[in-house]
Amino acid sequence: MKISYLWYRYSQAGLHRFSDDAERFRVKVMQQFLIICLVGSAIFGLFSLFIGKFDGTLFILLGMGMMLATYYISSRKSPRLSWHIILGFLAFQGLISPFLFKPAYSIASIYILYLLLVFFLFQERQIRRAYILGLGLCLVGCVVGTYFPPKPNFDLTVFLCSLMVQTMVFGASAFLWNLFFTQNESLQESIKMREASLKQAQTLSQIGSWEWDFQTHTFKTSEQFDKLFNLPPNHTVNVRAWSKENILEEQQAQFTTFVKNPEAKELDMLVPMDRQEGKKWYRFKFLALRDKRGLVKSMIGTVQDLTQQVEKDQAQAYAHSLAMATLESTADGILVTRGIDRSAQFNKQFLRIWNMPVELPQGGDNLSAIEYACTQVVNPEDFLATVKKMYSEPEKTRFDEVKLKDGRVIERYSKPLWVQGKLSGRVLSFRDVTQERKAKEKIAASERKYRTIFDNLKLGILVYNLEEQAFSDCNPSLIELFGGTSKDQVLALPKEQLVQMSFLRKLEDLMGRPEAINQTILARGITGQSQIQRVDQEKRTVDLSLLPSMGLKGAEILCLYKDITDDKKTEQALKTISQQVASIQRDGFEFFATLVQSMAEVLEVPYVLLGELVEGQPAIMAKAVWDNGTLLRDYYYPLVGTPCLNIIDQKRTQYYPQDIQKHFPTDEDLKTWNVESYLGLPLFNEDHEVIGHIAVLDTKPLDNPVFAENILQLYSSRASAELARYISSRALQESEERYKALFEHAFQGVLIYDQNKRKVISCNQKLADLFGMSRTAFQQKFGDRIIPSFQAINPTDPQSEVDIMLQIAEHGTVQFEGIHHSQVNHAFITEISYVKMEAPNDHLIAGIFHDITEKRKAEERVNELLSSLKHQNLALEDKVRNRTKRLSTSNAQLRQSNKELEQFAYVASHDLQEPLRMVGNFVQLLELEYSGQLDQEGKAYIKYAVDGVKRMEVLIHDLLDYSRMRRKNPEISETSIFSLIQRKLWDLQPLMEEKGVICEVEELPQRIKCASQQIGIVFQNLLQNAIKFNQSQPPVIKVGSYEEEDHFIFWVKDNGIGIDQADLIQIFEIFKRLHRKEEYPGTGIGLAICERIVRNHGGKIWAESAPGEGSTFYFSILKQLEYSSQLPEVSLSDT
Amino acid sequence: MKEYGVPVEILLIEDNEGDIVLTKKAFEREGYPCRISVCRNGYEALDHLYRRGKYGEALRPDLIIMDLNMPGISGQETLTEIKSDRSLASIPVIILTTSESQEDVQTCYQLQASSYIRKPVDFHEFREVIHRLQDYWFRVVKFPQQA
Repeated sequence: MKISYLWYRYSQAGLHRFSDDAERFRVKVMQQFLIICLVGSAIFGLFSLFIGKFDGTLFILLGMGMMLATYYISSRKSPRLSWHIILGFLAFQGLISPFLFKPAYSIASIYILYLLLVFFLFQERQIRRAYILGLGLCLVGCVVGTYFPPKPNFDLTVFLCSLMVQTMVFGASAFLWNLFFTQNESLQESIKMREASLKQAQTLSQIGSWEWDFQTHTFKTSEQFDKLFNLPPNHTVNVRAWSKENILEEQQAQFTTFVKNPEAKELDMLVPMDRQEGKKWYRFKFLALRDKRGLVKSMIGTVQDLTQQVEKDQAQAYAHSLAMATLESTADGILVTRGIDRSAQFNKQFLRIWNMPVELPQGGDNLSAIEYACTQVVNPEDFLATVKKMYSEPEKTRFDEVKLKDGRVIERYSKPLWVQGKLSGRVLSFRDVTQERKAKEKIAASERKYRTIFDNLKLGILVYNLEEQAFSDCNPSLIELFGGTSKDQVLALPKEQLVQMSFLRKLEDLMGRPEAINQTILARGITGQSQIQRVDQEKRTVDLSLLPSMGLKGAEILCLYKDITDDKKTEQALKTISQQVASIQRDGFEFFATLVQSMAEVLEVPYVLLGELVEGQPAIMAKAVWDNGTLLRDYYYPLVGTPCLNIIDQKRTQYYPQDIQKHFPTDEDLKTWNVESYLGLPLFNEDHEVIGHIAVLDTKPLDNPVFAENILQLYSSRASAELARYISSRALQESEERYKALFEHAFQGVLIYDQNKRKVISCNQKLADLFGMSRTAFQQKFGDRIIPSFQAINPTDPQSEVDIMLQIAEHGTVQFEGIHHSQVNHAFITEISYVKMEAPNDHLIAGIFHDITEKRKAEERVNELLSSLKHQNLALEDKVRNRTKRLSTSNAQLRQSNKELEQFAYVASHDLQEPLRMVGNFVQLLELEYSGQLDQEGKAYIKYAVDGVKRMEVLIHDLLDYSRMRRKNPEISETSIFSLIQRKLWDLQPLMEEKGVICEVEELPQRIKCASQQIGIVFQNLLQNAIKFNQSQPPVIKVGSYEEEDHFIFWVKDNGIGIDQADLIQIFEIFKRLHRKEEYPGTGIGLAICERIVRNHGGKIWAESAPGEGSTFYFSILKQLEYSSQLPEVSLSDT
Repeated sequence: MKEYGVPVEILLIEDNEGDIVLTKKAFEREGYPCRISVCRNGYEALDHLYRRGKYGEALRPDLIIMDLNMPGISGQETLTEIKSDRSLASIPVIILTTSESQEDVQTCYQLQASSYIRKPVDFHEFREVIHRLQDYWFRVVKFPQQA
């Protein structure tokens, strides 16, 4: 059992050190032996005590003590030592016994000693010695047993039997011993072998093992353990210190918990350790062996270096998370399916693209996701078909496009997933390409746009592909430029013919060099003038621009051509004209003549004309006309009916390419010259007024109208300037002449004095006449001074020539009066003015002498007359003043009386009401309080009285209104007549509804100036009357207006009872009634009020009517109404 | 609003006997408890208000009803006088007159009259006016507390 237990332990953990265990085994055997001995000794001791042999007991006790000591030693030290002690003790006992007179004891001890020695020898594997000793012992025993105590006869039989028995006993015991040990040995052998293989296995698996005895605190480690932790063999480990140093605190705590938990048996820990080689991971397994109380007796365990595995795991985890991150970070939506239709993995972008709830693909089944996708796509049938196809051919890579309902376009790229050569699913990647599509479409649109430009541009464009070193494209303009018929034809032309090769090479060279400076040049391209040869060999001059470009097919060079051959021609023509014109001197006509001539030459036309607009007349004075080889000047013709008129009128170029005579059939010149085409430009002065025109005429359509126009345009400004100068110089000439005439024929004497020359350079006849001498004589007499002899009249005036000069120098001008004496000593007075002329003639001073002698005399006469008149005037003024005074008095009186009258009307109306009210109120009170005493008749009287009172009240009210029309100054304002009428109609609404009136308002002026309140009363009264005096069914009223020069006329028309012609005028009189009150109630003041108001507005009121045919009332209002001036002073008496 | 049972004190300033009768009649017929004192002109009215002479025992009116055209000092002047006295200014003054002149209306309101009423020619209308007046002044609005 012990052995099987041990075996269990070994096989369980394979931990124990084999040699050690054998030692331990031996100790166990020894101890068990000793225990048997002790038990035996104890029995013998008790037995001897019982039979009274105390010495025997003592002896045995001594032996027992010895044995106990040996037991102790054997457990602690070597069992061999304990054997020696026991043997030594027995020998001592045997030797001592004879001296104690107990020879038997001695013999017994020696016998036992020998017996034990035999055992010892057996145990020590000294089998032979043990046998010899054992047999020797048997022999000695037999001899001693036979002869001692000495017996008288030797019985051989007994001796032999004894020997045989002893030998048999010995042999049996030896055999048994041997057997026992041999078995043990073989067991140990097998254990040893297993241990070895275990050790090897541990080494191979690199599992280290250890045993930790909690009682002895020994920590034993296996070789592999030492190797793992680089420990020297036969080391001792201080477990606590070691673990503290190497194991994390939390794991130590975990271990402590494990130890303390009585139920826990195993613990598995992965312990990271920082070792010299780097970070290491160890897997520790603990197996606790506990006693009955659950305390740990010992602990065994294994340790394994898992660093590689952990690192591998970590690397794997890293790779996994990297893969996941990659999956998530990609812009594509990715779905991985396992097998054929089970989704294994997908990223968020996938959900986002499809707007799919996360549960759908997570369900594992693809069907729900596909169903969902079907609701999203534009065409679910197609989508399903592609999905089916994809699954039916799982090994194929597919590329589809899915259009979603929300307008997005998604590309689906699906690829089979091969794992270890086996098809294990598909990877589907979805990409939202909506933007790309749009961008592509945009690019395509832009491409189309540029293509259109390319094809339609007037500029010739040729595309040179750098890679192919060939021209790849050109536009129609270029084909045209080269005179070709097709693109291929032109592109097939030799390069040199197509483009200036030096330009092309240079640009190519530049494009090959990426330096910044070259880039700048590149951006501008290369530009220059170049000659090309057309297909028909004609040479043309072009502006050539080469620009680098990045096309779809790699780098390209765009060659832009602009045909400037015609420009060249223009330039040449201009040069000709300029040269010819420049040689001309400033004389106007010369210029015009040369211009028209050279133009005719350059433009190859027979007729060129440059005309000046005659001032104030619709006619042209042609300054120069080139008439097919002849030069005409000052050719006058009227503008009417000529194409020139359009130029002048419209101030712009006129061009008639052909049939000009049909356009202007009355123009005789066109007929004479047989003109077919015409091109003319206006000429302007600085103020942009047309002063003339220049025109070319041809007997056939113009060869090159654009060219001709350019030439004309270019020279029109020069011609304009020349013409303007010509006109102004002529004007100057004319003005000079005018002034000369003025100078000569002026009523005043005039002289011009030159300050520099200090003499009069000119004087007119009048001045000489004033002094009664000839001009020459005057010049001789007064030629060297600024003023002829004079005397100043006023003391403040200049008294001398020097004074005059000083004043002129200071003020530029001087005026004074002087008395002169003529040659015949006739005195006369002149008013003298000196004026300094303006720069550059500021050295000249003009002096003007105005003879005022007669004027002075006349003045004196007038003064006399005036003083006599003054007297008469005073008398007259008195008269006027008196009259005015009287007038104003009477005016004031009139005003006073007017005012009083108004006051009277007001007060009267006012005070009239009071007694009236008394009457009315009390009559009613009477009715109320005495109704019981009144009969029907009495009540009727009261009714009449009350009616009368009420009518009287209305009358007074109207009268008050009427007087108020004058009493108050109405405020004139801009009024909308339409809204005014609307308001009045609204007020009359109940009445109108009662009678079912239809009212139509026709056209009215927007806003007029009037006293709106008063005009409102007019409309109200007229409308009221129109309703009141109306028995038609339904009554129809129309309102409208029309305009006269000064007045607005308004009218109100009804289909009422009408008015007799005879009454038409008096209806506007106050209190005038045409009907009985019972028929049509009213006061007869309404129309009078209207009349007054209208009169206040500077207008009239009248009516047109016939009985039974309705009436139309008109009234007018002054348009420019200013109240104060228009309000006539009217008094009540007027009415 | 006057508490129930306490008659409203009204001072009627009116020279026309007929109007006095009519006004009283109109007030009587409505049945609101009120006591009407009458003054024939402005002087009397002011005496009454200041409790001078024979008006020593006169009660301070809750409401003054006044005509404009009166002998002696006119209604406007009387109104000015009342409104310029601090102790009397708080009494509401109602103008009851024949005049319908805008000038009069404007002046009276400027002089802080509480209302301006034109005397109607029709007695039924007059009664209606007085009814409204009573309804408004005796039921709806609150009089100032007597100083």
